[in-house]
Amino acid sequence: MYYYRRLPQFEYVAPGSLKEAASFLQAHPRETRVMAGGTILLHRMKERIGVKKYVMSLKAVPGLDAIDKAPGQVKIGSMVTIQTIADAPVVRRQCGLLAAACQMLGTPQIRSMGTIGGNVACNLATAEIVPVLIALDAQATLAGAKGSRTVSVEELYREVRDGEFVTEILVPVKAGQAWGYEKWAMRKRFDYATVSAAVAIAGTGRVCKDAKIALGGVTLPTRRARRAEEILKGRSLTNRLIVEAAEAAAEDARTGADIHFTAEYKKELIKVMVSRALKQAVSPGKEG
Amino acid sequence: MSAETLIGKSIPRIGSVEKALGRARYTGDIILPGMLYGKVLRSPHAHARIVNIDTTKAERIPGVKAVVTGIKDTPRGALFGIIPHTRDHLLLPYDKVRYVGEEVAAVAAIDEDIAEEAVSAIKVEYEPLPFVLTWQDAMKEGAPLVHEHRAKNMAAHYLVHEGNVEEALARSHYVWEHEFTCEVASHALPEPFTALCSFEPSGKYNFWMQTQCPFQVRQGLHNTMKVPLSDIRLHSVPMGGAHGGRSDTPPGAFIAGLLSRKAGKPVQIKFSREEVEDAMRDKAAKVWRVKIGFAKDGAITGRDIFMMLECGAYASSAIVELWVPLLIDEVLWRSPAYRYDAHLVYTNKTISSMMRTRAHVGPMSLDVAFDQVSKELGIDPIELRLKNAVLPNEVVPSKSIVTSTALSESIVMAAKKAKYSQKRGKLAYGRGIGIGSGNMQAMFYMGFRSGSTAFIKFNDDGSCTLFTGNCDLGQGNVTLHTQVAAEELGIPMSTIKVCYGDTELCYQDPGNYSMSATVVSANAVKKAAQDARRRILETAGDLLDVSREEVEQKEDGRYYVKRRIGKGTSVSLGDVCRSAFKRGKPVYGFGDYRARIDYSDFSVDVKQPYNEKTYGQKVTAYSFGTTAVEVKVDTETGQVTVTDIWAVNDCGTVLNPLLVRGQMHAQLSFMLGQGLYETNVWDEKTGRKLTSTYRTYKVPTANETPRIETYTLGIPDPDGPYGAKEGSLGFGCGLHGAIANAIYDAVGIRVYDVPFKPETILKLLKEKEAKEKRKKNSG
Repeated sequence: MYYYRRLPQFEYVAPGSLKEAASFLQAHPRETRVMAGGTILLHRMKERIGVKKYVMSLKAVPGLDAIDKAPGQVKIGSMVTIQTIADAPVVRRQCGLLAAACQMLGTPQIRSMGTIGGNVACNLATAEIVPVLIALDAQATLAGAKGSRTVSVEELYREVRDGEFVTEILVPVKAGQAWGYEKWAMRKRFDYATVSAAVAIAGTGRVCKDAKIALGGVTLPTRRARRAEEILKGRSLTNRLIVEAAEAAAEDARTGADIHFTAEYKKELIKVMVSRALKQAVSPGKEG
Repeated sequence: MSAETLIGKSIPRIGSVEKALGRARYTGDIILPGMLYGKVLRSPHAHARIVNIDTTKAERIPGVKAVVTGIKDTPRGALFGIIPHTRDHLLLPYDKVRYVGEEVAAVAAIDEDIAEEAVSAIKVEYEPLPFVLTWQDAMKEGAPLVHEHRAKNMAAHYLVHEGNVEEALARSHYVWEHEFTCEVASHALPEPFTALCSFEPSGKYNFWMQTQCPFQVRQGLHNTMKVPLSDIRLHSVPMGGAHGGRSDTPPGAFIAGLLSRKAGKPVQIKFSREEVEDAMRDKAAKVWRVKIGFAKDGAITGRDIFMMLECGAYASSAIVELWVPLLIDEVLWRSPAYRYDAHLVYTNKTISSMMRTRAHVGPMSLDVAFDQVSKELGIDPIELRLKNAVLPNEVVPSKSIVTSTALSESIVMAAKKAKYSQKRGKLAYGRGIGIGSGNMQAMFYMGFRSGSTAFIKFNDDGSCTLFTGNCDLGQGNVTLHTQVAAEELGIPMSTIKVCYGDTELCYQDPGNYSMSATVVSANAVKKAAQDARRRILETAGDLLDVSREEVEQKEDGRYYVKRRIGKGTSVSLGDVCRSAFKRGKPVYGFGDYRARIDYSDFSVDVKQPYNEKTYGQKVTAYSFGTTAVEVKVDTETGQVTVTDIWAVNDCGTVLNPLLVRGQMHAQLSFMLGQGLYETNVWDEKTGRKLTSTYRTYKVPTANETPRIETYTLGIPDPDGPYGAKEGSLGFGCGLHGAIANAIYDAVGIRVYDVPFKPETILKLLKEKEAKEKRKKNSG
């Protein structure tokens, strides 16, 4: 019932290797919750949402908490905390969009406990890092009993099968990429994004070669603003074009009312956030 | 006495370091031998008849030591209500439940897990009834009745009518009117409610719990448990906030008492955040309709006010909220003819109680009116305010005398510091400035409160303990009372310890209702210290072989014979205390202070609502103040950000500038939250509150805090100790008016409903743009 806040009964397992973790999950795929930082999972368990027999923590699995620079990409282990990502010089230098979004998430406590793997795996509309990774074309490595495979973050929820879990996020590093990130919430920090917009632009000068726009706070699974992206491609990013793209993004986005805001207002916010994120990409350092 | 006075010194709050380091021991930190853990079963229905409660399964669970229900374990018909008229609340009901989250049964077990398991094993059969969530629905013909004996769900009605308002308005040069609303707000207390009760075989109940008025809470327990007052003891504990939300007798404490008696062991009940938000207290939603008449020169000719107040499922101390807006409104701005017609209405929601900032729509309505009327009448808005601001020794409509006020000074100063006149109408689009005033009563009578009694006893080394029934919610009352005692006794603050709010050791005190800690409790402390000082001088005189009048205390703290050349003999306070003990003349101090209030004409000890016969001095001292704000409106999202606040406080003599400043920041932050961020939402289908966590109920954080400049005027009050009044509330109650006016200055739209929501503002902005466009096209 609604008022009980003690954790329910569960069995805690903490395998010491990827292999062990994979075989445990294969043995109990539908009875296990995988835990990374636990900031979302434990809270939901207290609310009696999605409680299962086992909680398998990835804490003891070695090698999941490192950030590595590889040719053309940055590899981030699924257990790396949001705050570590926000502070990592390599992320700040090579994937500024990701660092910015991480720094704006939650509170210092949540950023220090919560992980990128957890944020990606929980598949919530409020997961703020997912749209950023989609805009950046990031990929996720999934481990399972049969080995590991790589899928795009955007396709992750369609792709993931029982017995698999996220071990790594691969963020491509693209020279000359411009980006923008806007998050709207009642509170500047310590709040979930009511809506957010992450944009990554490839191109020279003002002409946009390629654009990726992903949204937060929209009804899943559609996070991409594809029509808006098409509007921008191959054209010069004037204010007029930006407004046109933002309007398309808002029009296409599926929003739902929550306890505080109507679906229409969220659409309006998406328009403003996309437009500001694009302006930010065009002239970094300036507020939209 | 030492030459240096403590009055006006910035003294850090006693106990803050412990709190900041996590060392303060709150109620939840106390563990007694054999202590059990209690859990409460709560109603899932907004309104339902309780048909049957089956506890057999719960009782059989190993580790369960007691199960209580209303029908089996409570005295029949023992209702809680802070005045006889509003005794409507069975703290563990056996007839009906009236809101989601109401207590239905409870369990005490050896640990929390077992208690939870046992609570969920209790089977309750309900007969769900239709419910009402708003006052509009509650007052409709045929609406479900929350309490059967209250027709139309009317809990109480209060009317003051002075002069002929209709006539005054009819004769006015200009009449302005509008409706203002504010939503239900939460106290959002950082420390969740916790009660610990240890029942002794002698029949005594020991309670540890958070409360802001121990004696009122004890009275409520006495009325509902039907045991003598002397069998109920409330111990004092550090607290994490109150803001009015810890004034009533909490059902959680009552239930802890029942469980402890039944199990014969101490029982602790600790609420989760959701339980706190659903089942403790809220601030009542309000509708405030005001008609204001103005003469050509801007003077107010009359005011007609109609107020609806939602108290939720029980009247509790929301009954006070029916009355307090009058105490604020009638005092701020003069009004020769005046009508205040207020209604308290039941709904099937969380119980509302008092809350600081409770009356903010009142002050806001006048400030918004001044802003608009100044244009109509062609009078500068500051001039218009000064023309109507109450002056010292004026008599307000219900016949209280305002003995001190610096309202006008605060308006002038806030306007000057903010450069209001230079900025108004001249800032860039999206930026605006506004001003608003507020006030608060320090100590008003409610039919059961009047004064405070303090006591000081001394130890052999000259150190002492001060006993006061007042308590410290975090605002620094212990510091204040220690400071006052030290000032009068001429001894270091470190040698004075305060025993506060212990109902067994301390004398009665009004508690922290209506800002009485300074004007009433501190005055009692002052008198107790003066009484002790007289005794000290007397014994010192005995030791020095002179009369009391010939003794003086010098800067070293010792007592000397007056006018002696050279050092001369002297005695210390320790000498005095030791000798007094030997001589059978112990040193102590006793002080009693009664508020300067008319008790005669006002009686609520009758089984009828407040009525017209309520004239007379209601309040000892009134505080005032003005805030000016600058805002930034995001014209694309409608979000309002307050960037700067200039706050001027007429709190009388400033006893402790550091604490006053801290309190001012706190009040502004509180007002800011309710003005811009905080909203409570109920599910219309189930009657359940949807905003019971800090995730959904958005209290602003340091990030949302603007730049704040605070000022005090330091004009003394004739009744307050050393001229002090309350310094935490009144000055800031005009903040919402200031913000509303600043929003108009920024983007040209008027807002009347608190909180000022971004979605509403964006909608109004779009309407305005569309209107301007139409105008342009047609022109």
